[in-house]
Amino acid sequence: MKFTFRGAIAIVLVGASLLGLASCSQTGSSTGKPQIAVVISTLNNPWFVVLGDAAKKRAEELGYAATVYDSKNDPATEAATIDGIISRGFKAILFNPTDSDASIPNVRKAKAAGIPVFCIDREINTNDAATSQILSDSYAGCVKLGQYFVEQVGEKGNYAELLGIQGDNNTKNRSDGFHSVVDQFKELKCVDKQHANFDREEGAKVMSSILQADPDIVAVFCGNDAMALGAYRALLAAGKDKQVKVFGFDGADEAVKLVGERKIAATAMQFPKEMARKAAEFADQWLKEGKRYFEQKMLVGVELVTPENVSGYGDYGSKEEASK
Amino acid sequence: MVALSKIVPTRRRALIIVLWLLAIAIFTWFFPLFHIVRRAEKRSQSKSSEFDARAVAEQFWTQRLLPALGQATDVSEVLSAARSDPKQVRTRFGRTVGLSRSYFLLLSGKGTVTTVDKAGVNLTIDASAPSESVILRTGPIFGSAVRDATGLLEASSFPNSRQFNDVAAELNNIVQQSVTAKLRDEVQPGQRIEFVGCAEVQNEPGDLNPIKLVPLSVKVTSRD
Repeated sequence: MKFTFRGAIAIVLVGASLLGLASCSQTGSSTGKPQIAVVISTLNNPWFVVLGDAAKKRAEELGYAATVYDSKNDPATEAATIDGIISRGFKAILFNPTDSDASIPNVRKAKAAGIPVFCIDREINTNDAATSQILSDSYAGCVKLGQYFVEQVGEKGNYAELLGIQGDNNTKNRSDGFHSVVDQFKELKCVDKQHANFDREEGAKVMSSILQADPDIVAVFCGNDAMALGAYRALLAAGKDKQVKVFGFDGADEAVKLVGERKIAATAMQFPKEMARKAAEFADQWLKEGKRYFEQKMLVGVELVTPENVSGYGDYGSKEEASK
Repeated sequence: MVALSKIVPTRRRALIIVLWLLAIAIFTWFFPLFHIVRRAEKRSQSKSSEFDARAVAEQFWTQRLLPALGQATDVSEVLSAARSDPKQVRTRFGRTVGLSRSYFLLLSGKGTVTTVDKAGVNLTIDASAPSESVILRTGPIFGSAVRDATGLLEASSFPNSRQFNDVAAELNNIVQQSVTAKLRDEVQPGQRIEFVGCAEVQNEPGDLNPIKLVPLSVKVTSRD
């Protein structure tokens, strides 16, 4: 048997992740409570941190030991995490996938091991692997944003678009929803469209380069708030924050605050806490009540947040939701 | 003798090379490194595997949506409920998709055209007292009301939300081509019409006063 350098690295990595899982899950197993894993695509974005924390909190309220794992936007890391979860005897997975296609085998593996998987926010491109998928209705949310964009920018002018991760369903759904409205106005021209991968730093960098090439744009539509915040920073640095209206998507606290200060034109609230809570409650129904039928895809409404209604939103949700 | 011993290994080497070439030939026969496919054949293969949102939308429109329009709620009933308590419209007549604070209405009614403008066709509803009006949209149609108002098409029927959303966009195109274009061009103030339409209500009571409907079916019943 011949060991290659790559093989040795792979063994070390898998071993390390299993050890990591073992140490994480000891907290849960030591309590004697059944364990639920919360696997999040990335914890490098506050919105996803809120998603993971809300899922963990609700699972704990329902009597489980919950552990949050960071897939670091990498399907291979996610796969190793799922392997560890299966071997450690977790009872359910609340899952925010890294990739709509590459995450499918990971969900299938858990399913084959008898562990129900409840997807949150991001979907996988199949209906026969996850127990249920609780998804933001990104398309409908961006239709609303598109309508507001036309109201604010007018029916003509040049604008730019910052897209999320290439190939990701949310990237396409948000862009499609927005363009289903804006493209009906022929004098509104998208002069530059670039991927900034849902990342704040990349958003700032891409916005700076767009401003070099197209200094006369009047607006920028960003597929999430992290990119919108990055774009706003670049506009501020270039002294163009008054000229270019920024539109985001997510309902991140920082973006909502800037909408209130009229620095960002609008965002769309995705309700991460509500989605996460629902996923934990579904897992609980599976485990305690033996419920086996769940709607495969449950869409969660997205609401437009503008300076006119911003007082009704905050803390990653609506004030009405928080008061319940 | 020396020359002969040199010949034997050379022959063996040749035999080994031939055997290797034979093995590679057999292997590549069963596992070819590439396939040559005619361009036309490739195009037709990829087309058949692509999702045809327009075809799905047309089939849904003719075979399921239009036959279901008879289930629409009478608009005057909804207007009366909205007048007394807007909150009850959602619970009594609305359809919610998933978890959402907004809802969809599927309404039918008869009315008289009062004005035709950029926003749409304004109607005074028959049998509404006091007199109430609705707007039938004639501008660009956005969103998913056409897809979602009946509840006949669900996200779970599609492997991914992209396809589900593409169908919503195509249904809007069908409405624009087959309903709103005609409505905009042919309807005049003073005419009486029968209609079925759908709407998404996001804000109460604003979206209920007046209700702005995406027209799904319109029939002119009298021409003044």
